[in-house]
Amino acid sequence: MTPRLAYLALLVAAPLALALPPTASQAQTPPPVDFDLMQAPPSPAYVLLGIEPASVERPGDPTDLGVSIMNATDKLSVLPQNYAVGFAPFWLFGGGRKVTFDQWRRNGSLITNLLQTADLSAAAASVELGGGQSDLTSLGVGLRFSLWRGHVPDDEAEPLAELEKELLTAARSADERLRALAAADTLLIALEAAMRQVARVAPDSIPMDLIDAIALRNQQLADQAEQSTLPGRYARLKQLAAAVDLTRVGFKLDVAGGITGDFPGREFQAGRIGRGGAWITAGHESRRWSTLVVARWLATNVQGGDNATSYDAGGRLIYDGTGRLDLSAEFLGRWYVGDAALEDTWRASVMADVDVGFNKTLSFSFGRDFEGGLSGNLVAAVQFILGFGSSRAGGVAGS
Amino acid sequence: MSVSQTILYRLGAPDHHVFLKVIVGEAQTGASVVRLGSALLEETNDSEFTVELGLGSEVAGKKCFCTTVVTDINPQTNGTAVTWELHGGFTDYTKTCTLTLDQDGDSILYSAVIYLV
Repeated sequence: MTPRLAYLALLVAAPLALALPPTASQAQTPPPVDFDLMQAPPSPAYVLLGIEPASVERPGDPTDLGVSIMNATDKLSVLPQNYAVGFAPFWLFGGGRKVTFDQWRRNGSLITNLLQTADLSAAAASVELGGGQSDLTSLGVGLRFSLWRGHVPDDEAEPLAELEKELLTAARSADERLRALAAADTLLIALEAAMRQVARVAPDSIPMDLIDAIALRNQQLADQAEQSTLPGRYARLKQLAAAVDLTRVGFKLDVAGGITGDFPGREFQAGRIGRGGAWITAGHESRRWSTLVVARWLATNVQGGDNATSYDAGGRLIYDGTGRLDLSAEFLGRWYVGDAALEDTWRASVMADVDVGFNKTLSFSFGRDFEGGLSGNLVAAVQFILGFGSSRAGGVAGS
Repeated sequence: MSVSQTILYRLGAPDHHVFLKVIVGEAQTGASVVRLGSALLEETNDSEFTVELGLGSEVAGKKCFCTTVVTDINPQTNGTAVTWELHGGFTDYTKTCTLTLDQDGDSILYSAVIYLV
């Protein structure tokens, strides 16, 4: 039989063989949507809207896509009024395809850090003003990125080594199984023989449908190899991966900024720029203690049409307790400049963030807020922050 | 579900060395096994490595298996990616395959079957 005839005969037989039996993956139903893919973003817009759990945000790696719902509870009886959505363009749009884990875990160059940590977010908040005034809805957009992001310390070498050892064992198992399946598969052998015969005569003229048939058969064999050797190892790998703490430590420097719009009475036509600002957060973080300082510029459109420019400076001390409880305290001063008749003010508060499971946080805040807010200057809130995202240590950028 | 890539790589001059480069991207962890026929060329946890397959005259007509298992460890994304680059043949070749996993800690098998013609 000539190579061409052999190839034609295979093309007739191959579709029947390739169609049966379906591989395990083909027979599977689509997996359910898992909202835990998304993480709670620490949106800079929350700061500008004045609803932030902490005014000194903790640096962190943004996730590719995240949503958070935050509610300062009223006897735990009201629907959430504050929302944020954020995304990291670098990771969402395929920028990380050639970024290796070793490159990621280190502190990169300024440009690398900026690209890999840039986080765009939008937030919305509603305030009930009372006293006959219309409710106020505020919308904000923000940008945050790290110039120094710290590094994953070497003390994670042991759990990582165990994970890598198990990965290599899994790869060996899959390799052996895949080669054994390929060596015993008469259809693949026949297709490959036909291809080689054509290639010997005219290597540039191997028909695409023959290549496609070989590719499809290789895919089916790979699926079979995976299904028959790896599910148990995947479960073990998941356990080992969960034990690796990828919290970055060391010096960190974040830059953030944004702008908000206020919409009294929820009327779009009545909208006006509410506040704009930019700030730098810097500090050192270890596994237990974090010390952060912030310098912030704000331009606020106060009622009556005047603009007030202010500068904040302050710091926050954080203690990471058992991994489920973070305690922190912060102090910020605010100094106004310009003509606006606003007095300098300050904020001081203590916070306890309790991880209540799978990306849900209860945040207790007590203290004194800046003067001039819409809802008084007492910080006494229990906020429930529901993030749709990762539960892995280091995964959720702190509030 | 696995990711499989079949590659036909056209060889060039018989005395040219042929190289395969593998990159496990999206900052995930992985392990790879590379074989030429049944001969083991590389077993590694490196996320980026290059292996010499041999001279064009030595590898002509052979099949190379590159099997990589990737685990999602990067908290910033559940995306995974593996890139295969071939050098030393008629032209250079690059192919990246991607797959987004459902959950943190999930794993996926990437396999490349490279026919050297």
